[in-house]
Amino acid sequence: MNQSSKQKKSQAIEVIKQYLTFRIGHENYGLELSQTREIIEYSGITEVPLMPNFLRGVINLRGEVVPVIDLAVRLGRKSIEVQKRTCIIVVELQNNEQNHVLGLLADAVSEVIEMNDENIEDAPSFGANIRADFIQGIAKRDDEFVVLLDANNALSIRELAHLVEAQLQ
Amino acid sequence: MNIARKKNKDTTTLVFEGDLTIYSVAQIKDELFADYEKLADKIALDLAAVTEIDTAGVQLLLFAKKFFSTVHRSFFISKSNESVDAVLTVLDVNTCFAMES
Amino acid sequence: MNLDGALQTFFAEAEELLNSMEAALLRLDEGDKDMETINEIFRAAHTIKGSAGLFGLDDIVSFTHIVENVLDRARDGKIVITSDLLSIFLPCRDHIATLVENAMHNRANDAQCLAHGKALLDSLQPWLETKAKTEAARVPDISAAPRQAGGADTDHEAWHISVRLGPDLLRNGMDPLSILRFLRTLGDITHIATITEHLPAFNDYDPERLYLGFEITLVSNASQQQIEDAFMFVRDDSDIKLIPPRSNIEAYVNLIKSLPENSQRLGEILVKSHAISFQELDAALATQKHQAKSSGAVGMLGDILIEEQAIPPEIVNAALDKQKKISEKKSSGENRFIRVDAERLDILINLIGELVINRQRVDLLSSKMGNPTLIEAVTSMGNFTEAIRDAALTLRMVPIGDTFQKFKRVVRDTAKSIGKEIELEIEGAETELDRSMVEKLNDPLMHIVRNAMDHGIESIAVRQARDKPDAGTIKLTARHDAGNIVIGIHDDGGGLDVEKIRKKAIANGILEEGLHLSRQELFQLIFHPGLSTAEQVTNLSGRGVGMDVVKRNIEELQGGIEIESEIGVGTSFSIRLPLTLAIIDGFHVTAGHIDFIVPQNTILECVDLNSLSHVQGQNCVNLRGEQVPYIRLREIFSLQSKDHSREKIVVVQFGEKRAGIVVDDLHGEIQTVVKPMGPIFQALKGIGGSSLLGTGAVALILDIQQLISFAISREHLRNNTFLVSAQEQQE
Repeated sequence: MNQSSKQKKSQAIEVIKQYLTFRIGHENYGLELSQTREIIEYSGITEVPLMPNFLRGVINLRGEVVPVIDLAVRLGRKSIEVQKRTCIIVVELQNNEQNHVLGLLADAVSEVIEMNDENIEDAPSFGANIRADFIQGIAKRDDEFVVLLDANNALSIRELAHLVEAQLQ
Repeated sequence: MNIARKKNKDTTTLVFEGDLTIYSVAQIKDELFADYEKLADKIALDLAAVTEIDTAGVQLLLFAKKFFSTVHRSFFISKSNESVDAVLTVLDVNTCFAMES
Repeated sequence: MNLDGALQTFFAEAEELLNSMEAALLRLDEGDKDMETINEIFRAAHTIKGSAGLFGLDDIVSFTHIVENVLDRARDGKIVITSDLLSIFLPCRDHIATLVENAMHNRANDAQCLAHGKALLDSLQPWLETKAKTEAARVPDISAAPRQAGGADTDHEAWHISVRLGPDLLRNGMDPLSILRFLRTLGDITHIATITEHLPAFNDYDPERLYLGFEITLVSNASQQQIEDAFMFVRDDSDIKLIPPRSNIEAYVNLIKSLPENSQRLGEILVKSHAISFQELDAALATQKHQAKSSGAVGMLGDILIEEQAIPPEIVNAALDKQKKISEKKSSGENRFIRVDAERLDILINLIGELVINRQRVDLLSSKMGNPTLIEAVTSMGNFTEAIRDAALTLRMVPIGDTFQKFKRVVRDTAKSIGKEIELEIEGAETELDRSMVEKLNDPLMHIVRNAMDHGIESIAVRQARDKPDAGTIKLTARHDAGNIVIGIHDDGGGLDVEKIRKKAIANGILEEGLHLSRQELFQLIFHPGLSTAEQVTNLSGRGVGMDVVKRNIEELQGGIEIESEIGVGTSFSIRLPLTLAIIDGFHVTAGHIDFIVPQNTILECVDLNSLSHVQGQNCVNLRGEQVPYIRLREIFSLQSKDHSREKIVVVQFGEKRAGIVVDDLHGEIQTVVKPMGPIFQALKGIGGSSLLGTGAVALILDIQQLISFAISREHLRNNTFLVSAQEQQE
């Protein structure tokens, strides 16, 4: 009994999560697979006037109108230039018990990886060049670093709305 | 529900036994009209042994009355019981099943 | 029989009954002396009690029973309904509502609730008979017939009931016999004819289907509602016709005509069943105006029956009207409504929205292919799609009257509590709008009405000093206007002081000194968060919260609000809203490389911009002698465009404003489903939503009202900087 509960406990620590990895510029990023819904080709984006740079416009996702975020701009990088492999990662976030669907522009989608929590390091407090609260952790894979994003912070609907408001004033 | 047929001269008496309700009307209908050509000119109903009758039962009797009149048979109640009478009275259809003189 | 479904029906009905009870009580409070009003309250209480009994909701039964007793005594004229009694009845109604709500949520009635009920019943004691008091102690036996107690059947009332029941009734486990047995508990069935005409041919006969109909004469003192209650659980798919005692002969003639069976046979049944009551009928007729007809009533009916001769249409019409009035006034049971889950309706509307989008797509494809037969077929399908859309949208339309009605109670209670006399007038209660809008309109209306009561209407002393009647008036109005609904809230109070608003706004740092604003713009400042002109903070309003919420709520509904006010005379708010939010007719335009949709109901005309003469140095054109200011979408939205050599101006009207929207190109009318843009775009003014084009591309729907105010505020900003720099130069 005692032993089995111990076993459970250690299992709980060794949570294996799946991440979808993608490239923006030369950097690798990852999002929890459970927060992503699908990946679609880049096409037919409708620009919304007066929006800040990170907000590229809206798309029609099978009848649903979904805003598309340029993740590069949000992370303080240069805006993504549309190329052949550019795609949109559709994510679904829970916020105030409401589901928000967003499209994320990425240069290319790489793969789905499985990561043990133990292999994920905490976000460095400096040097990453990205706001710390956007980072869930850093994983190492094939000698490359993958920045695992905290989607709820990086894509906080409230913050995005505030940024839009600030832009309009 | 059982219907026994008793033939006597020009009259066939149909003796009903059991419930004459929505739950049995489909079966009774089949039985009632099976080989109806063999029935005599006068068809008498003995409902004394009917344990329960409802609107579906009464409707079946009214339908039978109407049908048999088209094939020139008379159709009437010869025997009844209190509960059947009560229902027929509520619907005021007892006169429909009176024996024709 | 699905009892759960029946229980839901009970809750829904109870709510309606409680609403009509409240409305009737308030009518009495206003001095209505009509006996029918008291009857209405009684019937509501009685029906709730009866149905609650069916479901074993004893708390509701025992409480309502006492209330009903008092009402019954009022009905019999034994007691008079005073304002004292009314002020107990209203909380009693509320208590019944609480009990019903508790039952609905499966909550037990807690001690506090029961104690409150007891206290209310105690306060009713003075109006109860001593005999009734003892009766109050026990839960009444609701399984017993709800026949009028105490009345020996001295005054025989012969009702005629024509019953055609749904064919599946028997299969569903119902037996008409039980209905007849129930009717017998209400009175005597003196005559019944079973209609056998619909029994089919041998091969078509299904013994489990019901083919029988009934013509019933019921001598009873019961009310129409009580009789209708007998059919409560079968009326959805049945046809029940009720002729009250002493109805005109024409009512019977009408009945005969409306029934599908052979008129002669029906006539015979009626004559037979009413052989006894003809004298009564004659006597009743004699006292009425149709004296000439009445003398020959018996013969006339006979004539009609035998010859099937038509009676003069005006009599039929009169009889029909009368029937209509009776049924409208007395019965909710006889109308042919079915209840539909609102969610199911929304699913239907959404699907139709998708259909509308797809139709656009098919339109596009067919015109690309250029096959005339196909185009013709698609066009006719399009017409049906439009018709379906319109029909579906009307399903969600509800009259605004119910919303207005709620304010009667609010105004009454509030006026009392703040020591003012206020009357509420309602106009245009029948005006319809989308159900989803009604819900969102409640709060803003409540804020405005409360403000009007609190700050608008003056105290009696001030009113007297101003030579105004003691009682202030608040008027709620509604009307349709070009695809919009306009809701007005008017009061005859002190009015808004523009100067005071301006000073306050400047003091609060909302407005810069020296800035010129129009009257309307100054009024609009009261919607600014943090600005409240009331000097005294009361518990109703005056904390500066509310009015900004009002404006935001209205804007969320794609609407606008305007204010007109005169000091000492009163204030009027007018709220303008689109009739529905789901689907709109729009006009597809482009500016830059973005597709926009202009709501059709705002468009006056479209003209080539180059064909108009411009007013020197301003964004303003001369349109048949009228100066129309315009907004260039490309400019206001900072868009790039390659070719804008053939700009068009779309002239729009919103409220009192008229303006032009300059676009690069026009693409024609389009039906479009409004898709919300989501919270990220909340701050974006001038775009009310998005929509999908036939090509699958997303188009942005312009919110004209917002766009114009946005343009004006930008204009002000520019003027403002101009003003500042001008000042600097002077110094």
